Amino acid sequence: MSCPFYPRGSVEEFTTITRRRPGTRVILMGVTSVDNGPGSTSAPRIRSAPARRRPGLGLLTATLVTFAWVEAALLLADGGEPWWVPLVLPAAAVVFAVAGQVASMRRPHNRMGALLMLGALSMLAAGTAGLAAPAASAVGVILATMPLAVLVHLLHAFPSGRCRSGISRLIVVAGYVVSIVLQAPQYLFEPSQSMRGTLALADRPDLAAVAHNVQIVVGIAVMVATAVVLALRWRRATPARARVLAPLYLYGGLAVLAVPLIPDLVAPVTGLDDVDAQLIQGIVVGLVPLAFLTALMVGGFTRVGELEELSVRLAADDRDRLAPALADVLGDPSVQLAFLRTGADEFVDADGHPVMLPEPGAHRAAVPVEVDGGRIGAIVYDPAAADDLRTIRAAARVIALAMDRQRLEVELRAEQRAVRESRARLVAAADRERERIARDLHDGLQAQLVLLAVQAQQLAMRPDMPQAASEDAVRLRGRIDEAAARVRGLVFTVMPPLLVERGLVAAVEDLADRMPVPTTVTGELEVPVGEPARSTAYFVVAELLSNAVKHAQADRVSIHLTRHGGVLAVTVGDDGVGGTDGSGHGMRGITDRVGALGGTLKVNSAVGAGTTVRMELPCGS
Amino acid sequence: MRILIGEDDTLLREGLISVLERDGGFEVVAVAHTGDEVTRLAAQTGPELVLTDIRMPPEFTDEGLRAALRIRVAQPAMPIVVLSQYVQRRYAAELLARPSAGTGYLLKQRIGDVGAFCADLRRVHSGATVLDPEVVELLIARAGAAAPLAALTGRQHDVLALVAAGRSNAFIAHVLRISEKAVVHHVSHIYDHLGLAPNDDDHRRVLAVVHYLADAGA
Repeated sequence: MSCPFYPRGSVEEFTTITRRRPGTRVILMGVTSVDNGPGSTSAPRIRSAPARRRPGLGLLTATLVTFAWVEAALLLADGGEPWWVPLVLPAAAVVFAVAGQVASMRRPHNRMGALLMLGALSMLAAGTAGLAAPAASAVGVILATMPLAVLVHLLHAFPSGRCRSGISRLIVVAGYVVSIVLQAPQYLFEPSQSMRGTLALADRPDLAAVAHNVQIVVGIAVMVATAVVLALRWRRATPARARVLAPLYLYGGLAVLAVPLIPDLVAPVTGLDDVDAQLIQGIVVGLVPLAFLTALMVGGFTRVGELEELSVRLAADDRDRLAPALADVLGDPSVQLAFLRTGADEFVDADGHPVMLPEPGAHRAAVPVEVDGGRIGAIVYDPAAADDLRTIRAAARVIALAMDRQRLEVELRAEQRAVRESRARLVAAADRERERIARDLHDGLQAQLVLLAVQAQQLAMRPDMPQAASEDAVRLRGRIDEAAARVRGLVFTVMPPLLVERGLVAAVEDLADRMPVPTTVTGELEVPVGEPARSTAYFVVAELLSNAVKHAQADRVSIHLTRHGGVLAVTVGDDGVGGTDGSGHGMRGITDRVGALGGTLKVNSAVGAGTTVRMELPCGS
Repeated sequence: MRILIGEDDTLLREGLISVLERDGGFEVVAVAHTGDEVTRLAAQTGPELVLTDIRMPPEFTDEGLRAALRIRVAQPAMPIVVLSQYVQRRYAAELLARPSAGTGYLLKQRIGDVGAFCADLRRVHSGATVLDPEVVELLIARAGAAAPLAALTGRQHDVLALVAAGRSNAFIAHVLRISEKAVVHHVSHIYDHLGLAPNDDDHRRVLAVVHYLADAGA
């Protein structure tokens, strides 16, 4: 674990995390329990809610379920027609409690589970209204419409269990006010609402009616505001998220509306009797927790690991797994790591490719990763998938050291890439320049030499020319022709016209034509090879042929050209003396050139066994 | 003789016209600036010989050669001379692939030797094949690398090169300062050696040799 690149203190801090490994238990189903133990003062400052054992959770669920049983039994004892009607609310409460338990186990840091438990509690409370005992019944009367407020709360709090915006918090509070505070006048001023009027202060049905109307109006306002907030949230979500959110929001909204509307509006219109209405209500409400639970588990809302588990996985020294491990833990498969290049205001990904950090307000967001107060990178994530900015900040602290360590490799990769690209650009630029020079020589100088020769000859042929001057002019023409021949040779060396005009195979055949020893060209290139591979391959062949004649004293040379996918392979073999190590000036030049384009050059040259050089060069697809 | 010129470079075109009209006494009937124009004007203006640069617009590759090959198909009797800044065995082989009227393949630099150049045009017009010495050198080097040309004597080599360039026995005798009888002797020996049938027709003799050389080792 010694790493010379890190400040001593940081390394210690990191090892503190890894030493905790024996005490870590990773339990299936994604529940991770790490006992921070009493020595937590020396633990790294991870401020996300630490995972704790939750013995109370099961107890709470068990208590709720027991209460539901008791309530159901008491309600059954009181009798009713048909017999199952009193069971609707306790049954719904059990579904809420179990869903809450599962959600809490799967997502220990997510408050959706707790909210579902609250839903169970509100169901049980509302259910007590039918009990015979006046005190118990009073609780039910007071909290009769609280399940609606909890439903609204669930919708606003999804997926993290926390209300993310001030507006949401305001609406949720308003929901509780409507369902609890505005409910009060109805039993305070209407004795018939509570058992034997125990809760009534005065018999003022008129006041109760006014309060009921106010409750309806504010309630509608809460629902409309909720619909607007959810619609906006849905529109801002990524398509994948939106697909999960749309059915959940629609169903949640339907449930919120169904509870008050089924008995008051739907039943009278459809002729549904009271019993059926209650059954439908119960089913609609009972499915709500299942809808939330399902939505929480699919579509990337699920966090399958915890931060502590992340630190353990990082300690496993599997650096390329950093981003995937983070994605698992944050429940966001789209998580990316952006590394800040030292001394450059540029972020790159793990492969060294430049990346842009998202703009504020985009579909993606970024949280900085810092080491010793200095920025080293960022976590780029999907804000819709993230349940809590604090969790991501904590994750940023956990991965900081591992990321800083990986950054050195990433920077190296980025630099290698930059150097490779720059070398390839240099080759391409040099080729363009060669081609331009060849064209200038060809179109300019050679044409002028032709005209000069013509003029010299015409001068020589002038009838008034003295014999000696005429002979001089002819000699001059001969010198001009020699110069032209040298320019032709120069053009060939710089950039052979045939390569541009007829491609690689024709140009290589032309090279073979000019060889003083038998030279064969075989192979096929069905697709023309583009620049810069074309001229690189040509100059490689030219150099190898020249070596075969000059150094290897070969009697026969063979050239083979093939192309497999995006790789051009050229093999040049001779029967010469062999024994070259490919370190000559010309060989170094072509080796550099091939390397600049990401190709390879292999020299096989045993003494007395000839020389075979194989070049492989990426040439586009 | 009425000549169609294909040349896109203004200065060279003017130089060519001056050589052809002033020194050669030819008539330039039309001037083409692209390969397609060469083909079209060859059909429209009815020249007695087509003289074209190989490298022409729009691609500046081998448009002139392709135009020449198209004319070969459309007007097989049309004598054609192609000019280039450099020579290729491949281009010579393509040009000579189809037995037809007079054919020339010359380096542009040969224009400078005005008299010889105009004489070459006349020979092509009369049905001869004229290859630039550099083309012949390429052909012989190529063939020599693969075939038993090495067994020829130096003098026979010289004769072979001149035969391939399209020269007559009289010309060869003059250049090499030997008797025509000696030339005939050399040519017959070369023919025996290369396994070619003896032939009195100069033009067909050239073609046979050129084909032998172009195909050797290919």
